[in-house]
Amino acid sequence: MYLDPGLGSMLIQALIAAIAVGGGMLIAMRKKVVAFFRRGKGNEPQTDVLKDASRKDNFNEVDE
Amino acid sequence: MTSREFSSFRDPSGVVFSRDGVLYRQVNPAYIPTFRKIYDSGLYDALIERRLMIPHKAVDIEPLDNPEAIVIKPKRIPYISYPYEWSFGQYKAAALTTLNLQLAALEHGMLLKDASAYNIQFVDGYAVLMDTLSFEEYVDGRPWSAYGQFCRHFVAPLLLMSKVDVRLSKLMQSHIDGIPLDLADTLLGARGGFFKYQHIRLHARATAKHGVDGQNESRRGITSIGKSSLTAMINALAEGVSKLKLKDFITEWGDYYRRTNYTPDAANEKETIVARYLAEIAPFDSAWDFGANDGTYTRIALKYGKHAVAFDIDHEAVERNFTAVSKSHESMLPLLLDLTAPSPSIGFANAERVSIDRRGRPDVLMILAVVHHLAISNNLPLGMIAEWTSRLCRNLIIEFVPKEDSQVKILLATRQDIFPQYNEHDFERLFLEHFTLTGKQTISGSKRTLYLLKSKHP
Repeated sequence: MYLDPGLGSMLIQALIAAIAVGGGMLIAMRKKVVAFFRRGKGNEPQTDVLKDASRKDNFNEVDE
Repeated sequence: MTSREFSSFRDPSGVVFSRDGVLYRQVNPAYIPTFRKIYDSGLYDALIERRLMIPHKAVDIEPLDNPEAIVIKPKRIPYISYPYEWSFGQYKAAALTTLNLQLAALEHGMLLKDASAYNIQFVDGYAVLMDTLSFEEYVDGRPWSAYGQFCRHFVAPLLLMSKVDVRLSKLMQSHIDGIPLDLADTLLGARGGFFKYQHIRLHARATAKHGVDGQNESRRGITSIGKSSLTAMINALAEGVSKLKLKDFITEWGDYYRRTNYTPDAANEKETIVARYLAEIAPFDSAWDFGANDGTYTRIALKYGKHAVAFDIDHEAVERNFTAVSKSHESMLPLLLDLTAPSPSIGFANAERVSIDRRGRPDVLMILAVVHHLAISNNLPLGMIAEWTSRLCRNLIIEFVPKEDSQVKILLATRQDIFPQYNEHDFERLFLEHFTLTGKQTISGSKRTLYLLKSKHP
């Protein structure tokens, strides 16, 4: 599908992205602080938004 | 016979067409260099490996309308579904797939050029992109052109479902390009926190403010956004979407199987009869189940057929079924459907998104413990149900629940019995006007009867 980008959506992204970068830095700082106080207690498992897909099935097959 | 897919008219990159019943996608010459980059950059392999996109292969057949074009054959999607038929979990999975597609594209120097919810389909419990031509080359500093669409198609409906009412996904049916952000903002009010504030409220204001800029000034002032900032924004969107949860809700059907009036023996017998009927039709391609609840009986159909669609009116039942399918990855698609108002044909020329019956005809349709709700709760005449279902399917497995059944007694307790034709004799007479009888068996220990019928409709 073809999309005509709205100018408002394009402009606002600079701000939204800046918030995301700022938020990311805060989270990273908080993690460092938490890690500092949790030294030796083991790492927390990382959550990954990308799917785990190490499965064996016929998903990749395109029927003849 | 060759025909162009009607809904495939917006994208200049290519076109979907069917030839002799098989679906193909034509890639137009102008898009071929970008299409090659999807492969050369490694993006294609990454997306298939992560189950984010439908696989396809190049085929050597004549293009639809351009001799310079190339043709690919995508993996068949058993049943096309639309966002207003998805449960909350399905909607969320589709949103996360879209964001993961964008992240993967950025990693490979490309960008997802549109974020339509209609581009996502469900195959074996995976939410996958079906439009292979949705990518463009990433140009450094350029913002995401599909951000507005992503917010209208995904952020707004998910926030409304999560924070206001799960039924608000139906707004997608009346707004073909997603829920307008100002409308979502009004409905959400103070709900939705900072996530809503950024992607809905600020976004809606910016859209309103700059909506007419194009007419009176040049599009200057679009700030350049670095790749890392854009990635941070997509990650923040993914985190915001991941955190959205459904409020606790209790429904009429959610615990149906825990309170049916079947004894364990009768339930076993019902399963045995349904399985026997299915075995008589087998092997078949597709089964539909109306009133499927959590898909208990639909799973029996999967033992004999390739694919099944499990329709139910109840959001919690569909959600529970999808949770199961997204773990088992069986070829079942749970979908929301109100049988008294099934999804209509909408969009341009009323043909862009089509009604349920125009997306395929199942080899077998199961309507178990539902007909009394249609006939008595909704006053639908049995003859009309028979006529409609005979057009929908090739074979029908239907359960008749008589007035003596305790569930029907409950339905009749608060209303006048204006249903003189609601009896086994008239049920058979009316259905056999449109079907041929191939099986009939009463479930012992209950007053219910299971029929196997073959449609007379060509």
